[in-house]
Amino acid sequence: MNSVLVIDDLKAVRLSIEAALNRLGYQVKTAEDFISAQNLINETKFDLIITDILMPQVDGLTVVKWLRSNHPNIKIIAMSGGGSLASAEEALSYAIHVVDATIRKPFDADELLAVVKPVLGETV
Amino acid sequence: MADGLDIDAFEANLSELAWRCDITGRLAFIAGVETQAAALRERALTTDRLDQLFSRDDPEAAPLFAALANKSAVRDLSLWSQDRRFRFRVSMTPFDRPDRGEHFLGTFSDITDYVQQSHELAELLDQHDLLHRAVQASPVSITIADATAPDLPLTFVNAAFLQTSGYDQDDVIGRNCRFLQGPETDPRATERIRRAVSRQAPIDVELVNHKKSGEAFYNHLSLCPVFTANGQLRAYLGVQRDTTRQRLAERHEHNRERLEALGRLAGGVAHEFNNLLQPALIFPDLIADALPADADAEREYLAIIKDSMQTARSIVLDILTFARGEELKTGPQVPLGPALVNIQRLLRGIMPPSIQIENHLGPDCADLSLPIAEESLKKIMINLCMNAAQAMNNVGTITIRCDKQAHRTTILVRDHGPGIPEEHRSRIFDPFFTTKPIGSGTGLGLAIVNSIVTTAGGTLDVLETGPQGTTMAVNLWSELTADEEET
Repeated sequence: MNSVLVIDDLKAVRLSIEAALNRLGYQVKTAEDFISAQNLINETKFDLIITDILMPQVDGLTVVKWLRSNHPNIKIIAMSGGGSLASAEEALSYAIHVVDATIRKPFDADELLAVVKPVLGETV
Repeated sequence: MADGLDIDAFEANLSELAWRCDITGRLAFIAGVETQAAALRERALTTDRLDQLFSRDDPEAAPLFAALANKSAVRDLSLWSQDRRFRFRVSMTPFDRPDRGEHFLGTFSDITDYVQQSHELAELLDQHDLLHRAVQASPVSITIADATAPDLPLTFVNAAFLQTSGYDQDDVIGRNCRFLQGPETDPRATERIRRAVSRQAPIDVELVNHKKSGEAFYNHLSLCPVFTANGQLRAYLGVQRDTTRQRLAERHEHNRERLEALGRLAGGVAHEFNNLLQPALIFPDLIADALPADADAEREYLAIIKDSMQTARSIVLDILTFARGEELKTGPQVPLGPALVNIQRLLRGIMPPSIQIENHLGPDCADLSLPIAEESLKKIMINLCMNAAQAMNNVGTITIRCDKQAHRTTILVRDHGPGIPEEHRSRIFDPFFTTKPIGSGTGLGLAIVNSIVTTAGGTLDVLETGPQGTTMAVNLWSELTADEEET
């Protein structure tokens, strides 16, 4: 059973992704910021982390960098709200080179699965 | 005198000074003593020797001294006096008489004033020639209208005027320059000119004029009255500059700034909406799965919610496309011909079968490369054609044409709909302005087209609109080469 950590500052986004993945049989935990994500990662072994790329306080890029240096085996999917916010675009274009996949919000359950499964080596 | 002539009267009318000189060049004056020539004698002839009056070093005087040595004649030699203050015309003939021996008889005429005037005249002519050449070479248009003739006819136009206006010299000389006015000329501007002329006052005005071809251009006109030395109104001088490029660049810049601000706003809004839409796209499916088997109506409601959310998502995507207009300008440029064929194929798939699309691409346009990527051209054409189809209630013919003039390429999309109502015309390029029922259009179509076109340095215009239909014009300028930039 693959375990997934969802990091997003918006509760509704966290909950919806958690629900969709739960339904498909994944073990899901959520975190609203970097600190709580770090605590969870130290307690639990995750196969995949889905993180927003642009969050207040510590942004997703910092999360990605920290994960890559400390937990190189955990797969990462970066999410972006898109928009022409220069910082969001910039972050995503950087993240693309260091994460396993990216996905643009909003997406439905099927679209999410189409990105998650290949990253975890499952057949779509 | 022996022949009985009244020598005094003769002398009084003599404008020349007659003299005799011996073979050594010593002068003795014999006539003209009482005339102006005598006055000259007082001022200039302080010597009685030919070689002191003229210089042996003066090459002009060489024939005179040669004649003196050879005892030959000279006629109408023009010489400066040694002190360079007087110009004389000199004639001299040798005589040999037994009572007097060998000697010369000669005349001087003072031509100093005449030479001076000739010089002044030559200078004046030279200045006039230079002035004429300068005015002809001027990069700004210069015209002169005769204010002494009725209706101020043009009497002079320079080369720049002919080039800018496209007229020939014969088309314009003798006519009042109102032939430059046309349908797009603001009557308020012409009224200002008329009032200034009636007050004989100078005026600066910018107005839309028309070339011989009918093409409109912005013309900055300075008109000022020219008076004679005694204060009579003689002419009107017109100095004109084609300010079209400048105006378009300003408009482009203004649009760009406005779109940039809107783009930032739209981008921020889109970002927020994408987050808000996230749960709305996932939960309906999850709830539907959890409903009892017979809850068909509820399942239908959830499907409607998800459908609405998907529409919302595509609207947000449109907004993002609009906001990112700037990015769309890059990409490989393709020849217009093949690109339009591809686009027409694509349109065929999107448009209802009751819409015909006619592509009248001129042979000179097929090979043109536009300063825009094919992807952008596709967006432009799809949006313009969708609007055209909707204007005709999805029945009729859309005509695509292309027109090339110098560096400007114009793509025209024409429909046969009822035209754009007057009250909508100023707003059709504004984002979110739509006349379509809610749900069938975001109002971003023309805003996106305008954003792409202006980003590429072009303009989007409603060329004509009325009961006979609407023609939209996309004007794009190809880059000037360095060579052309210089000319």
